[in-house]
Amino acid sequence: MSAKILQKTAFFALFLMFFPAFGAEAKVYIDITSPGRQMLIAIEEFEGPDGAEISDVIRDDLGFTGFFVFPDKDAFIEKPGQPFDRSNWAPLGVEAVVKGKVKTEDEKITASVYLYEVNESRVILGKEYRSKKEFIRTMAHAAANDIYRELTGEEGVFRSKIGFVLKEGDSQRLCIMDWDGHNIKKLGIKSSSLLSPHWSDDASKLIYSSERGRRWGIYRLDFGSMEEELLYEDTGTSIAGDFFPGGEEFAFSSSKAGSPDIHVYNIAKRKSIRLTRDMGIEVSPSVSPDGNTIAYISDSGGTPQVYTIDKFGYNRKRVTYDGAYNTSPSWSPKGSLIIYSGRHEGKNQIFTIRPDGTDRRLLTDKGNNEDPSFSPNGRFVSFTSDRDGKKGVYIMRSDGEGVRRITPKDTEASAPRWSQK
Amino acid sequence: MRKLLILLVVLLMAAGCSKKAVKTGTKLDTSPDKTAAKTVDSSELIDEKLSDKNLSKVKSAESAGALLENKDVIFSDVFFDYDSYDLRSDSVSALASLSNWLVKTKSRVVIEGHCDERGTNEYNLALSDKRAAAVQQYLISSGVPLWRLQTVSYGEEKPQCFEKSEKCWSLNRRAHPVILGDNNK
Repeated sequence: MSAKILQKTAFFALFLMFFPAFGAEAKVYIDITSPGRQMLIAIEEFEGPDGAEISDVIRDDLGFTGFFVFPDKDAFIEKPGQPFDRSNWAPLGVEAVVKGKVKTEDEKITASVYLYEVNESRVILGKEYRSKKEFIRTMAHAAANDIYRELTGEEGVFRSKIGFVLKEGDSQRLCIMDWDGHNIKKLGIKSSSLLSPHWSDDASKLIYSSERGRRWGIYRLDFGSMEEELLYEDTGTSIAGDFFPGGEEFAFSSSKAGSPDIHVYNIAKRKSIRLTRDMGIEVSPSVSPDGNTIAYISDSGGTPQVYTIDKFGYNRKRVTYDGAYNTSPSWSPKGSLIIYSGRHEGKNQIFTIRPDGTDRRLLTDKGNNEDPSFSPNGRFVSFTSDRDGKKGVYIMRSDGEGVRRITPKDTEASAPRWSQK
Repeated sequence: MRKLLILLVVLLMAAGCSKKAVKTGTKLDTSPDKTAAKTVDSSELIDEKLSDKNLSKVKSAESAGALLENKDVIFSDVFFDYDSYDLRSDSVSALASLSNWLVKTKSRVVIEGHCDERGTNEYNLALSDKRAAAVQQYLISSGVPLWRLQTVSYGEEKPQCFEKSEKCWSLNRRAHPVILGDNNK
């Protein structure tokens, strides 16, 4: 009797020895689904040439999410170059530490980045990044994405871009920049009037509306070939809307039939299909992430409001009933929200609403705010605002917090669109 | 008693094995994951493509030829109410002189539609399209053939004044006729 119990006990003990990590590996360091708690994380200045630039980018990226707070650098006990020691960080209440080392060789830069968890003194991430020197910020953003993913379980968006329109004298210029406003690149496309660019879902192409010689056309810029192509031009005004997933079709508004209506254009087949047939104005089509529903603006009810329709032109539904002037709708990446600009107390403000018309929320309250669109993870929003004088591109968290201008103060910029990658 | 002892032993072993407790000062495995050296993905392609020397090579599609304006003849603008594309009664008389002249001289005209800055750019572009279309429709119904009429909308993109006042806004809510030169006959 006792031998059997001993056997069973021994077996059980052995069992426990080989499976010690029940649940320990699937750790959630910060639960971003229940907001409120912020993680105290120390980002040490990276050693080596330009090291500080990388650690600064990582800190700015993580900081903007609103999930992290940083202790005062002056309180750090451990210095860059010293090995990680839990006892240097635990007294400060720090929960995680990022340390790094940079080496340069010719035009290449190599960064070794380490993420430590203080409580259990573990290395969560130890990774080496290599790139050409001119892409140092891209590399830092890649590290920030990896750190963010390790700590939250969610993909970071720090390598995403924002396309926008910059005013240059009497003309307008198509540009793109990093999500944080750095590396503004003018795309060599300029015209007297240019409207908001729309990204393909793989971020390889942009379509936009441009007026040249008193004619509006829809053009596409392909980043692979770096060539601009006129995709669509007809009588009336053609205004580009979103690509469909896959980039083979796009929605647009055209007044070729007498009144602005929503159409879908198939690029390879060079064919357009008309989706709406009202006598009024139908404009600004935004395609849902699964490609099945189009949100757009119609004044068929008397005032401009947000409607949805399926991609075949059926099941039209009105979404907004509050406010006398609602425009520029855009879908959230998961398809759960539509963000738009609505006239509120005399100015344009940004709202979100569910596609079924419930849970309308006001996100902004200063100046005029227009052209909202979401970041790839749905956590941030880019928009145009004139709250500081000249129109500029701003970003904020999707709850309306953390508003910051990302285009230079002395420039006039508008029509931002966040890439989906 | 024995059973209790065994249970205790089991529990102790379990406690000892459930955590990889590392003592402070222990050497951590910090060798970085070298397999993560960057491979090219489309984001990186964009960064590479956007280097300044590549950008200067962007091939822009050709633009449509500009239409020649006849600047000797000017007709007055036609104005609209806020968020409206209906022709006002005061506009009709102004348009009558334009349509008479067009019928008589067989000239061509482009009607530009404009808006004040208050709406959003795309909606305003569509609204100004309707304004230009409303004028075009009036001209057709008063005898000007369609082929001599063109419209273009500018939304809020080309205002004629910039103040944030009702006076300026009302001046921007307009349709502006542009007579075309001889070359386009």
